[in-house]
Amino acid sequence: MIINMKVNGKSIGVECDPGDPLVDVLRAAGYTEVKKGCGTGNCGLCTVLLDGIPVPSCSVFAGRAADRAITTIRGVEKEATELAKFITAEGAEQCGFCSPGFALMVLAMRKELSSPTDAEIRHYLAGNLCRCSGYEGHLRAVRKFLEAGRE
Amino acid sequence: MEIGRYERPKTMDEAYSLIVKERGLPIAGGAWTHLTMKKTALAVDLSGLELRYIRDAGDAMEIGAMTTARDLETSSLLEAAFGKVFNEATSHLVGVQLRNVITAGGSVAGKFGFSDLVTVLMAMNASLRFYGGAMVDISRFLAAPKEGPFFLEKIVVKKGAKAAFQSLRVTKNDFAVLNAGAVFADGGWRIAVGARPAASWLSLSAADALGREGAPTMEAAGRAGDAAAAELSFGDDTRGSAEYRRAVCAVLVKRAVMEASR
Repeated sequence: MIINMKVNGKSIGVECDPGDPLVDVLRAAGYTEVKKGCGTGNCGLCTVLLDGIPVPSCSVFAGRAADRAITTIRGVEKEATELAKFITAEGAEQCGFCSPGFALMVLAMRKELSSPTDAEIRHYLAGNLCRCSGYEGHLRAVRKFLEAGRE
Repeated sequence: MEIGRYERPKTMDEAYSLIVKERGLPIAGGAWTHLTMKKTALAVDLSGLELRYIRDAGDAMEIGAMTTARDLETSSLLEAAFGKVFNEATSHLVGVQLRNVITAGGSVAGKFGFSDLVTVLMAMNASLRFYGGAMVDISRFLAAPKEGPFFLEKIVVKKGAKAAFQSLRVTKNDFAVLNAGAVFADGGWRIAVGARPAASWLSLSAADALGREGAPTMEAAGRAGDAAAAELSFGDDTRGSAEYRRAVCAVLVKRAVMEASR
């Protein structure tokens, strides 16, 4: 079955089983910035925005994405690059494998919560696992990124 | 999961026909379905229907089947009607991303043993509205074997309930080792316990122990917890033994009753 979707503003059609996980279909179509981790919706690596809402693309059927808009980290490159400056300054990462999903969640949070507390930041980002950092650097970076955006 | 034909109906009648007459597999959130590795000739994606809503219907709240766990977690309407109980029953569910996928209808229709939401709905005596059919109490639905295809449209929860939810988890965003819901409404108590690890179930003896007293003492709440632990069955899995769950049940029910009676 051909599934048509719009990825980062570009319309594409992909041949796949509608029951395939969206992450597999996106990666096969060349969107390898979408990382695959647990495959069960637990780790947050494969997060994409589906019609603007963050979802784990491993837990979404490809069929559900038909005629919908998907945003990967490449679709928000400018904002993600800005966030990356804070991540780097706080030494918040090592391998970077969790970064695409993490950055998309931070950007989604910024739209959903106007001025989140530390507890709200932790709660919102709890579905993004990082096995390098210990999260404290992430928290500092996110806090400063949000503060900078408000100034 | 292998799917022969994938349909995303635009109308309720079309969806009903695909599910009931053509025996298609309804896909609500799909977060658990995709893990089952099933094969199905026809999948019916319900996301094209207007079933994602939380409505104030006067004496009750109506929750559309496609309302997400995140919607329930953040709903000011539900908080105004029932306090934080829906927030507490959904906010531990993995991460925000997955809660944007998981639906109320999928959690109920799947009769998932691990579901926190189902325990709350059981305690609240929620009614299920099936499209083209009658209203059915959730406890009756959970108790009955699945008989043929059905299309869950919405969940109806009466207002006026004082409700509380308690759970114990190995880690904050894991499934519960055990969960418990306590509700005082219409002059009586309903106590539900889930993640046993079997599906949520009512403890009638715990409700009897509390009688019609809306503000029970700590001792009475403790007796209700003991009664639930003695009455219900528990099983073993990687999160805990049956014996451990029984001990936890007594404590969680007691805490839920005290919280609901505040």
